[in-house]
Amino acid sequence: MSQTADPRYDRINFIILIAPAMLLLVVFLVLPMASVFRASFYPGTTAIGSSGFSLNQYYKFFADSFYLSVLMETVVYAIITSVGCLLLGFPVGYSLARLPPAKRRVRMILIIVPLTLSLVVVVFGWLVLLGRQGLANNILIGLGLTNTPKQLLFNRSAVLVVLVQQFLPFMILSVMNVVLQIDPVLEQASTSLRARRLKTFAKIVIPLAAPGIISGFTLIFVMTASAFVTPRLIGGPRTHMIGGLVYDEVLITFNWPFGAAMSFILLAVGLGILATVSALIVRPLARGLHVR
Amino acid sequence: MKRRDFLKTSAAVTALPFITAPVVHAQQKRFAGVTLRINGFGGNYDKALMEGVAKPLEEKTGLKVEYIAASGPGEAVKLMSNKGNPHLDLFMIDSNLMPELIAADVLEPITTADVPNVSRILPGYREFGDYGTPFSVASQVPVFNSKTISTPLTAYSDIARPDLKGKVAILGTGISSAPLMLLALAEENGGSVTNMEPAFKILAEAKDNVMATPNSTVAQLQLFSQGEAQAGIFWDGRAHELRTSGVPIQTVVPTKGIYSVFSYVNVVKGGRNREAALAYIQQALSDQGQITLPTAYRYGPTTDVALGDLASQILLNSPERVAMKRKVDWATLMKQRGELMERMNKVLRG
Repeated sequence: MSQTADPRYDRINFIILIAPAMLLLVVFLVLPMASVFRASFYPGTTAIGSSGFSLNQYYKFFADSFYLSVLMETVVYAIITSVGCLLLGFPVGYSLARLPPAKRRVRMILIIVPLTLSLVVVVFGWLVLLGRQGLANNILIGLGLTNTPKQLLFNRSAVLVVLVQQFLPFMILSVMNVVLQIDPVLEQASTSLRARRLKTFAKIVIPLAAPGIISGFTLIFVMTASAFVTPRLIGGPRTHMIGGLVYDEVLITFNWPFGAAMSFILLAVGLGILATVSALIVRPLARGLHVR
Repeated sequence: MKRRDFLKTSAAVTALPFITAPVVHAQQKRFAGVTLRINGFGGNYDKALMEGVAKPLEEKTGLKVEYIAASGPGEAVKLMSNKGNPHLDLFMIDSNLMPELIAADVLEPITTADVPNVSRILPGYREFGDYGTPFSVASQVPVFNSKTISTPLTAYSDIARPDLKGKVAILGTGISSAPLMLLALAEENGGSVTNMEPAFKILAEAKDNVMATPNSTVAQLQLFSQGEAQAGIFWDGRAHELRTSGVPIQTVVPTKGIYSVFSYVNVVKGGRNREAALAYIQQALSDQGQITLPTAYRYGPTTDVALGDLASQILLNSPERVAMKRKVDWATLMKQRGELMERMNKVLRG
């Protein structure tokens, strides 16, 4: 018997292979996060030289309707952005997956290029585009839909539009990668069994593409929930997201304990929502596919 | 000696002084081989300081200065959390964060004995005793677009005027000196640093007027330049920048007082070369150094330097104007910044 066939050696090899990555994760992610988590239990308004244990920061957050409303707004933005990206991104991802490789490559470049631009540059571009003298207003005036420039910036809709534009490529790529794995023969078989297109889509394509949809949804949900550049530059004084408040607490008022508490609340709420989505949508979809 | 050897030796002897001269000259310079690290405010601001302060200093002393563009508050946090092992030798920061840094004991005091040009700093401009040397002063003032706003603003509180609905941009909570704007609103309406209530009353009245609270100077600049914002509270130097680019933004001198922040340069405790750091400050306070930022941005100088033709374009340009600058108790103001910013967010969110 060769050494590699022994399960013990397999395990040892596996541990050796993942050890560097695990070490990196522990040193640069787990330990800093543990330290931030610890900071969230300091009683005062600074982490430097602090000691003690208190739930003050969490109490402050949950006792104040302002913070709760911002948390709610953040979650709603994350859901709307993820759903928006899914609705716009699925058809694109699906059609790309069904294209011949050469044609797909060119279109992929077009989708990936915006990701190579700095986010700040993209957001400033939107500021110009949606400004009073920007292209959007010029089109509205040109079409006769309005006589004077409208204020298209500094509201919730503007933030959502920019967030969807920013994260759309992630959904397209996630969906495309999964649809590429779905054998077109399955769809043809469904059609030959006289299933309508909509039924084939609902019963074959969607369940098989569910892993891609969910990974895209998760990625976009997490990125939107922690976004702070877009809401700060595009949103007005009435548009807040938790990421912006965390930034202010950490870098402007130096209240690290409260900033840390807000970060962990956002993390917990995000994980909770994703777990619920997984339990209510993903598993039933996967089960349904296997049973029927 | 053969003829060829003689010629070779002669050529070498002749060339030697030319080859070694720059090296010898550099060695004679006081800080040759020394490089200081200083945080920068970014972009043209750092370029101006490089031209007006760092380059002349390097020519005179051989000292090299490396500007590291970064967020001031972020760098302050790093200095405080790595006390004794600083990543910077000199630290530029505005008045608002000075109390925190002094309390954290990360800055060296500087006296006239250390930097002779400190004696030229105008009276009242050193807000923290021997800590920090102010090299520039910038003011937060009411501004308006004279093309679209027919009745000029005259005070900070005018941001609440009913005719300015949806036209106002004020400093956002992400700007660390935003509490100064609130102090201006408070004091203009009978409040004080310990009674900021009037500021929030004005903010509540101005809520529908405020269309944006940009969290960076550049973002606010863009709003004014593309006509999105037509009135607000902004930096005097940046308003000048808008005017020079053709945007008719007028700066208001509020009759009840002007609210300004000083930009300080500090020697960081535990920095690499104190003598070299002091030489940088001496240069920053020299006539050549002091005229740099007024020339580039029209921000005010902090010494008795003669401004010449620039004077008319600078806000704090005379003893009368300087007298209008309100003294700020930064320690008390900034102690409440967390609550102030939170309250500002709440009031504007409605």
